[in-house]
Amino acid sequence: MSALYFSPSVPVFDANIRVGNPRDAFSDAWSREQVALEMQRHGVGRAVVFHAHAESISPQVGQELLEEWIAGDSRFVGMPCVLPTDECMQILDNLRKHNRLPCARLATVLSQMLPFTETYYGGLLEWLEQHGITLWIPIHAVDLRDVAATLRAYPQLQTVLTGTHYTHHLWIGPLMRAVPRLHVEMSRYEVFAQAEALAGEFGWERIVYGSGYPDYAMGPVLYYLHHCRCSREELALACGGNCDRLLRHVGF
Amino acid sequence: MIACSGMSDSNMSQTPHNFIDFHGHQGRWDVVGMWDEPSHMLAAMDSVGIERACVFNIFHPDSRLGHDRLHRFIQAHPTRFIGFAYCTPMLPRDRMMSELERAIGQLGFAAIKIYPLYGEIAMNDARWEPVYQFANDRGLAVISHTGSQPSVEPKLVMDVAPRFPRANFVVAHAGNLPAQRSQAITAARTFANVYIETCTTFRGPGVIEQLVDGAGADKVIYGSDMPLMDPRCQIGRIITAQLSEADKRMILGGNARKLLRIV
Repeated sequence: MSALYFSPSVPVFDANIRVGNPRDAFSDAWSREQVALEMQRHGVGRAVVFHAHAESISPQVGQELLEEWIAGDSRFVGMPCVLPTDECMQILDNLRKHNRLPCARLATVLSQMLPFTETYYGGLLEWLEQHGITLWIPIHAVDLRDVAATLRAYPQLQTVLTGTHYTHHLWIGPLMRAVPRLHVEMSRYEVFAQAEALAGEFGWERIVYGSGYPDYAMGPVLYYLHHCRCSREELALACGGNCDRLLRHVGF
Repeated sequence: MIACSGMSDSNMSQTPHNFIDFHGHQGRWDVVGMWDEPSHMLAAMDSVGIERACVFNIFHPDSRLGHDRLHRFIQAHPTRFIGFAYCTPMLPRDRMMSELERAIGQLGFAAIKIYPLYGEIAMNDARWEPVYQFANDRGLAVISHTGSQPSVEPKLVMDVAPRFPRANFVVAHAGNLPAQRSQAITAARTFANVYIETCTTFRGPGVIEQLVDGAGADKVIYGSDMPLMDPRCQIGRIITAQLSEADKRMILGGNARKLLRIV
């Protein structure tokens, strides 16, 4: 194959795809068929998906829409979005009892950001830790200043921080040092040579490929990871193995 | 020619490549992790077949200090890095122009970088005209930062490109956001001497294809913003785009060679 074309050399599990239409935009590109086609074009075998409606409007309605969107397609792992409310906890508990809760993602709190602190999130975090459910934390849903202090109280909780950017560069190393079970999803973290730098200090086990599709293309970060200084085994972890492990934590 | 060393990649052939990265920096910006360590930059370039990277130092408004540091940087690896002059009308006109003449004439820099956000001196402000005239007289390329801020909207290049037809204007970051990207495409389609450079953190699906569809592959130039952003990720946008091999070759070096008159 020419070096002007690329396909991944290890199994790929995309840890960060948003599906469905948000309230303020519409595109057929966000349908299951189109997302699957895009995955196929880039050699992405499976993906963790969350619904746009669940992220920013209603986790409850969004979860229904997510299940309809997936429609049993085994290439997709549905990730419920959650707010720290009793209703959301009931949804999570119900999913867990039916062995349909692979992970969870913080919903975006609009207008006034809810502090990511024990006071507001303690019950949810305790429950997730107790049941071994990995939490995806989009950076736009929290104040980074709260993350380390809050997560330290839940040392067994696995987390995946998504959406970090070069403007967060000074935060990432100390956060990963302070919170040993925190992983970094790479869709926006393209700070020069930092994949290798983070992996060098923390191990490739804590680097997670995600595309951030449809806001970001699937290919570039995948291509980047394939050109990092790492072994094939380490590449496989970053491109899919780690994501798989974080979901399999509860037996998926 | 650089043989791709594609570290973990079994897909990469060992075919030599001579890609050119048209947008890079020299200097450090520590708060965002930008570090111009040549060995790291060269390793990343080698892994994806980038033979040469164009770099500029935009951190010193007197230009001279930055040019001297850039010159030393390039002298250590003269076959791998190409220096661009940096100038700003924050300097008095005579100092700006004399330093520009030194950078091009004595230090051997190949093109000009401007960053109108510093000082909020819009791309079409008359204070830039001596720079554009200088580029026009010598057939040089001028690459400008662009984005959504008023002083750097790509539409401004349409005010200057037709007045300096022998200069080539390169719209860096392709305007970054969709509205400004459309302006960049319009400018490049309208004027023969306007080109679009690709690097951005807004790596949406289909953006590279949109640039090529709108402006033509002969008007799109690969750049990475290295060592702010990683060239491996940014070049991945071109490699994984749905384009012909011929189009990719133009974007990844052919067009830059033409602008920089590299044989």
